[in-house]
Amino acid sequence: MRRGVPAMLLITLSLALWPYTAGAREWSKSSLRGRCIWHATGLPTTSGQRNGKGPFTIIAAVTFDGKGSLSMDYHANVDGAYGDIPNLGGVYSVDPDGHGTLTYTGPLSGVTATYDFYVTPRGRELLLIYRSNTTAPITDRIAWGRCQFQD
Amino acid sequence: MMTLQSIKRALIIAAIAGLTCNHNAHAARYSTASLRGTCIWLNVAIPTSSGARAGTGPATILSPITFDGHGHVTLQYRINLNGAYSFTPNVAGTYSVDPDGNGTLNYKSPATGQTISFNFFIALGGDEIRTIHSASAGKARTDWVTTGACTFK
Repeated sequence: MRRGVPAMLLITLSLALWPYTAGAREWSKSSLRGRCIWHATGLPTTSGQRNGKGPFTIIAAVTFDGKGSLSMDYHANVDGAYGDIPNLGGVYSVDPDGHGTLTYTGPLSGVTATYDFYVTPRGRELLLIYRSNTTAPITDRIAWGRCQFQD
Repeated sequence: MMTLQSIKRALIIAAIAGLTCNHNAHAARYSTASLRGTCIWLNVAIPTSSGARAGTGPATILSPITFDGHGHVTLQYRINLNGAYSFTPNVAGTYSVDPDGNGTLNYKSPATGQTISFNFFIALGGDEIRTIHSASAGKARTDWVTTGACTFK
């Protein structure tokens, strides 16, 4: 019976500390492996409106290889023009705190776009915002979305 | 000595008391201590008519928010404000939570310099917080309406 007490104490302490140790999880590229469904929306900024930019929406199945590359079954409607690319490539990075970037070249615009993301605490989805492009320091649109991993 | 009928009556009273107790517990179960840990906040801001007249554009915010359980928060603040991206670590703020799960979040935006407030509800049994913009210090109307969610899951 006495031997059982320290074990019980350890189990109790482990359970009590679990939420905090889980929150301290370190992420890396290999944390992202598999397929998530991405749904994004973009709206023109004030400069984008002046440049004639309209809204866009994206749905895509994104497959991460765990090593920094990704491929997408990509469907987009950019200001009324719909297009789909079945195998669009891109790259990604992941910091230890769960922040990362996702970069690809838009097949309709030809612009290389980078999104910032965070992995949610339990790793079920990525939350993303549009960060930058290769053509101008100020983006013509803001955009946001979430990519939910499949069970 | 208890009869079978009195035992049944006691059990029924205990069951009703239990149901009432659970209901009351549900109605008053939240406090600042209910929020402890880090959620990931995605917030989208669309200019109001007065905001558009003032030249503000849309914005997105992506930030982990760490709640300390005592009314203080820290944000790792990434924003695309009308096309301009910036990152500011360790932005301090405050929060409150009412017993019904409604609360407020306040911080000084590093992008605009304004002290801004959000109203929120705790949702999904505590797995998520749903936010809207409620006030910008010194302004009768906010420059944006916003919709956001901070997920713990």
